[in-house]
Amino acid sequence: MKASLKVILRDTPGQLRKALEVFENVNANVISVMHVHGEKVGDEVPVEIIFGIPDREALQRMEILLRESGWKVLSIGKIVQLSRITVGIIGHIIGTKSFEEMITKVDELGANVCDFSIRMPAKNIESSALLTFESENNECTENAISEIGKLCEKYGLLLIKPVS
Amino acid sequence: MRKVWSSPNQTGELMSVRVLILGVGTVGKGVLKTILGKPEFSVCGIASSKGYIYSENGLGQEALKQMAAGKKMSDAADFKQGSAMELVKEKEYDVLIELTTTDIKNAEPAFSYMGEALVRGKHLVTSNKGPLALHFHELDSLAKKNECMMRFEATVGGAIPIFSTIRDYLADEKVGSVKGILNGTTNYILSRMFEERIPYATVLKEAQDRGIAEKDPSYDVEGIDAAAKLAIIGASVFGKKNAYSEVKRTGITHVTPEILELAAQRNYRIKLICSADSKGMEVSPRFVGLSDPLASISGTTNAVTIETGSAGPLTLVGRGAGQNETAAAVIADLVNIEKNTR
Repeated sequence: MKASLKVILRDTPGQLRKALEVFENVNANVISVMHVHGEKVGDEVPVEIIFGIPDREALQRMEILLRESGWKVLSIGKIVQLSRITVGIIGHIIGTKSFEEMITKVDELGANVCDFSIRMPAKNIESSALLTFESENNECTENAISEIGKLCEKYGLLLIKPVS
Repeated sequence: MRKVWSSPNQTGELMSVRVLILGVGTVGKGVLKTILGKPEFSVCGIASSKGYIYSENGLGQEALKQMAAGKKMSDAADFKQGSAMELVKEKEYDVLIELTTTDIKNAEPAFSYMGEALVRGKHLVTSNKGPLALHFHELDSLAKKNECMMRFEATVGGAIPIFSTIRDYLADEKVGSVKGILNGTTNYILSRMFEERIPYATVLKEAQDRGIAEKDPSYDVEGIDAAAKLAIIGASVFGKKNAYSEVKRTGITHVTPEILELAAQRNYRIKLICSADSKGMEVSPRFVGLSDPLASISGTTNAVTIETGSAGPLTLVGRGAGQNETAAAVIADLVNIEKNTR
């Protein structure tokens, strides 16, 4: 997984190399290093390091090792890359609990509904809606689409999925 | 592979490949027109639902020309009333070209014609979706057992060479998935609904007036035609055993101009997409991102994207139906058989 660390270093040669010794201990692999000179105070400068690390446990070990060694850690954490998925729903959506149930279900699966747009051309005519949710991984996305599909079936709605 | 009749005649020339054509509708006439200009083939028999004409040494060119131009077969001097099965079962020929009307419920009588020809060791070319969608593996087994070639390029995507691309060009590739737009009528309707922001029923009527949709449009708009084509892909590329019944199918009848407009605002188009991989097969209206080549396919055009291991995605675009296009696919299959069996 990808993670980021923001740590305060003294702006003197060899400081970064010392900090990176911890990376070797937890099998982390540096992707990029950025000195944030705009936030420099005295001879201390924040450094942001993006790196790959095997899992959350290794990330926790890294944080403990850094703090035990006396490094000032400003932030450390997994970089979450959310993918945004939009599905279409056609049918008599309003007046049923279909949409409410969809949001609850998507939420339970760890995804997050972030947008909803609807067109209602006239009374008794089917509505057309877009439902957008954010998801951390493919499994979560597939489960969410599958559950939305089941609810569409239950309420007699047409679900339009993305092609892949 | 079983060789076609290729012994030289008295003057030392190779004899033509003898072709038996079942079905003289639009595609049949197109095939006749093209085959007349190819001396390596000779049409020895033609059959329709009403009867047949047959000559072991090949039918006269003039009679064939007239038939290709629209003259009724029953007006021919040597027309005989009888079943096409008589020809398939009892007469001599090298390749059966089966072009009769598709029946997706029981695939008959075409399935019986094809089975009988393969049992007799005759090569087979067809544009008929029903028998392949419902009985692909039975026919394929018969072809292999009797050392015959079975070619069916015209069943899916008209002139687009889907199966020959997978079979020949991608012979060393593992195909991960196939997805595409394989029904021109529904793509025309969705394209027009998007362009004009008009309801499904209005565009359907326009399509019927223009001869793009049938009077009973259910075969197209409910995704049945697309499902039959997808089943052939599923069976032949991914080895699906009960391919047609396994296809999840949703048509386009509930798609609204409003959803097309909302989708456009998010840079999507809505297309009736056929998709198949080792997990399953589905025909349904889907959102297609503008960066996908399928998003720009409009009107009656067909397109298919073949996802491969090392070659990546390969998208083929072409006319999915029409007399000349389907005939071209049939003739390409016939030429392929001729080249591989001489």
